[in-house]
Amino acid sequence: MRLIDIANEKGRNAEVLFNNPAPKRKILYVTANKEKPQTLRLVKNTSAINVLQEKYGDELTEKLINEDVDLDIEITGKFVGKATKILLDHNGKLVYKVKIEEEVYDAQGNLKEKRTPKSLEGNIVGEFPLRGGKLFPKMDIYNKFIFARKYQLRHVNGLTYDFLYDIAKDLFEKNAMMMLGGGPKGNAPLVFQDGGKPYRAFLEGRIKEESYCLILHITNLELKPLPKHDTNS
Amino acid sequence: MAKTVHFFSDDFDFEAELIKLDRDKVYGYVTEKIYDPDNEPCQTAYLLEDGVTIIPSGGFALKTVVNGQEVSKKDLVAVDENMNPLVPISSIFDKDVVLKTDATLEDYLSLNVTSVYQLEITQGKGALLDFLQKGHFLTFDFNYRTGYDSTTAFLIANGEDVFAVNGVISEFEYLNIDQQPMPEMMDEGSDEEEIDFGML
Repeated sequence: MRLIDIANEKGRNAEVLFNNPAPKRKILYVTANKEKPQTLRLVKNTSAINVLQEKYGDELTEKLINEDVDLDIEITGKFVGKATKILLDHNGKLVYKVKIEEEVYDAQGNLKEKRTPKSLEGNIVGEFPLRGGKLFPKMDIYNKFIFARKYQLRHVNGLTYDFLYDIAKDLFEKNAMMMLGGGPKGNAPLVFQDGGKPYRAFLEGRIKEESYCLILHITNLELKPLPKHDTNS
Repeated sequence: MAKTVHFFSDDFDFEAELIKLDRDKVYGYVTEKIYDPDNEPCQTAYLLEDGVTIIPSGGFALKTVVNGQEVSKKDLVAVDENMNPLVPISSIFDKDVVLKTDATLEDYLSLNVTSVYQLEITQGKGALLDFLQKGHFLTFDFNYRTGYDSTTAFLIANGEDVFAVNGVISEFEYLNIDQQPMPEMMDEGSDEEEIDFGML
């Protein structure tokens, strides 16, 4: 569970917990004797083909057949554990200084611009609490966005129980969802960690007697049809 | 022509083509390119735990092993958590799909969405739209391919368009004052993979 800092309509804020209670998959694959297999990683080849091509040129086929230049006999076929992702230059050597560029494409796949990547800072806990904004009746908003993920907000003590219960009760009685925003003005999309993607977020409250269920719905996609040129693809 | 799905219930009977809705096709997309000091694209590779051996991208294979012996995935059987064998469930393209009317808005709002499809309906769309636009919900068991578990898809209308929103319904807990987390439940670690929208 992680922390999230949220303010109520009076501007009072509290750090509470959140988690995603999505059920886990319960299918296992076993042998006929009900033995559980392991999935292991082994080394298949040790040299990139483009590097070999550059090194051997037209002789590569002959070298592959006669000398197995793509295989290191000491390593190939060995089961290995963790491996760290690294970058190589065009000569297949470790590279220590790189230039990163983003290419932005439109919905038709046309390149719009090249730019230096922008890294967003996480904003769900920190300098400014998340603040509620406009209320949307549930029946008006449920079919406008894809609420792809849901997180349940949970109290950490008696005070935050009252705090979250009151927010949930208010939303439940109004049968509405409240847009939640970050940043100094409380209108920025939510970024769950540094370098993460931005999402719009809506709070929904449910109440049963003295218990509550406060759900954070996050979305980055409207429920609308594909542009016409794409529906045939 | 693309394969269609036949939906039916007491009140509805129609066929629809399913077109996957994804964010890239609606808004566009961004790719990241990494260049070396000579302005040539970098290649990805992997460094083994020995800190010396470099394996090129595509240089690993995954093997399924039991007691040190490789087994073919074809020889494995699917079971549930109690080790009971599972029966394959047919793809929605290979059978008639029954629409159910007992779901509520709360069920829909509890759905963790894994995929969304736009429905191209040739006949019977009017009655379906009338029903959905009144705030009713239709659901069906979703299996794009034949497999061992199905998910739940909701038919949702927005304007004149109908979508199948597919996913797994979460069971949210109603919390009372006595339910407080243990300190070890607090973890500020990243769960980026849990909010990976790539699956859409």
